[in-house]
Amino acid sequence: MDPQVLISISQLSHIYAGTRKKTSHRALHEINLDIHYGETMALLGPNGSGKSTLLRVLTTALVPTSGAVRVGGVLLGHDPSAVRRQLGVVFQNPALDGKMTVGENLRMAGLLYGMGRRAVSQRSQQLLEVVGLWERRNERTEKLSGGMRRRVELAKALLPTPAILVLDEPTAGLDPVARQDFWNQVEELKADEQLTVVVSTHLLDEAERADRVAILHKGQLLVCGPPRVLQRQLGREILTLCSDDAAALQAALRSDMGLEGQVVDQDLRVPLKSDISLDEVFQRFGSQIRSLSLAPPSLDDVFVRHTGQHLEEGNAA
Amino acid sequence: MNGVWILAQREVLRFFRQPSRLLGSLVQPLMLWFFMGSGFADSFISRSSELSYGEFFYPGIVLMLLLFAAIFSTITLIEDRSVGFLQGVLVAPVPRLSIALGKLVGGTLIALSQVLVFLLLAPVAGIALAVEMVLALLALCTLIGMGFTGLGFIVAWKLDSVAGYHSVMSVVLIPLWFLSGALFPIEGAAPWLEWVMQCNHVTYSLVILRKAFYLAPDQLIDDAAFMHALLITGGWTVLTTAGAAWMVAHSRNP
Repeated sequence: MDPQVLISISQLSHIYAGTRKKTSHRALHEINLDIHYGETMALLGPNGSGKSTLLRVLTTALVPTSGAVRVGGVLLGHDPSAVRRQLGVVFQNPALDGKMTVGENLRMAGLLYGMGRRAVSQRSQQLLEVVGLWERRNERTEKLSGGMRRRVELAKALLPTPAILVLDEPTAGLDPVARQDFWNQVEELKADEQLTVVVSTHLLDEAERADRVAILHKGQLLVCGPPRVLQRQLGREILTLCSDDAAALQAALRSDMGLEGQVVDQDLRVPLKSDISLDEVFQRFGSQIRSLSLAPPSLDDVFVRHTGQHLEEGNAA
Repeated sequence: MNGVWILAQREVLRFFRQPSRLLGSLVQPLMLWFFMGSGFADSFISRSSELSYGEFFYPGIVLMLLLFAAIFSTITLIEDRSVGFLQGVLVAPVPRLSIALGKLVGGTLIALSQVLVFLLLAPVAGIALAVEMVLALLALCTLIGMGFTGLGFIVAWKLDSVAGYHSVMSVVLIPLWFLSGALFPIEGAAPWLEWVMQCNHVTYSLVILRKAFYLAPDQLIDDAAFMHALLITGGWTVLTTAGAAWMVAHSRNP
């Protein structure tokens, strides 16, 4: 195995068994993915793409139907406790007890991970100071704002000094300021604690922060790589043309200018590998174009390229 | 075992931090005991003893305390799952068995704290308790409480709604209490009902409680009916505890 690889996922599939009311559902299909020491890996995809299922498998909360996952060389099914010791997890749903104070929540988590009382106390103070909540350690977590609760969860996840921080849609429901604060603290802690971070998200800006992004759709891994590399592979810029007959415009652009476009939601999207003259496009096809825009490729464009739909549409579906 | 104790402590802490739950768990059985004891005062005639209804009903109320404490402490399992707390515990490096036992021990400790308060009222019911009798009663209540909490855990583990849990409890656990001899003596019931009550394991929990209110621990050991009922109650507790542990250990998708 590559010494750089901390988490190795191979041929991972999971099917949720059907019930009388629900048919069986394939959540993951033959996923192969390596996550390296010290990197931030974002799992990007719309709701139902399989990213949360993948994280549940990784955190040993779910036994997959088939495939193998190794964390730090340990096979997941063989020794779940050894795997759990390497992980700090912040779930999509809050895992704090609202009736307990910030300090009590952390103390309970630390003791469950087998830490000594003194170590729990020292580490709690250190982490709560980083996330700016040391002064509020004696308040019940039900009294805190959503953003603060997330920061307590972050401190709680990192209490037993795990090697890997797993974040499942960690900023769901937070306002932009609280999101920014949360990410600043994750990045500070990642550097301080030399963490490997695995985060699932459906937000483009969060995925763009990562060293690499794995894009999932309907349980399959579409593509994986550094965000900028994936974006550049599409071209230097994306020309989006709005037309009443996008299909006709697509054919005309291909035959007249050799440009390959993709029709998405009545728009024609043309990745540009080299400079073109917009004047020429207007002169030739002006009558068919209602509007146009030009922008550098985003991860949404990468998603569109592989699925023919926007990430947001997938979330709404 | 460390994990069991940590999770049990949390259960107890949560209980004492919810004043409405604390109040309800003590006031409801007190009211029931007072009103039913007063209501049946003159119309209750036991074939086998000279007991007043208040005294007859007293061990039944203690049994109800244990039952209700078990129901309410295992409801929190559904809440823990729905708010996400349970998944945080499931990914901690503690054996799954600790998760089940933590809930069972926590629920039983809550029940014991309520029983202890209620035992202070024994003289009001006309029952004099020596210290060793109180200790024996608490040990027996621990055994019975673990059995009830185990059953509640098994039901709650499979359910995802608190409302659904209440429905199951009202048709399963509460009838077990009704038909245990807590409300009316078994020997005066219709033959078919007497047979049903004899088949109900909770009947035997009540037998050991009733006897422990009047006999010293050394007398209890010599009492064949007590030992028989203790064996059934102990067997039931082992069965439900093992069942709860098995469900957590063999759960693929908690």
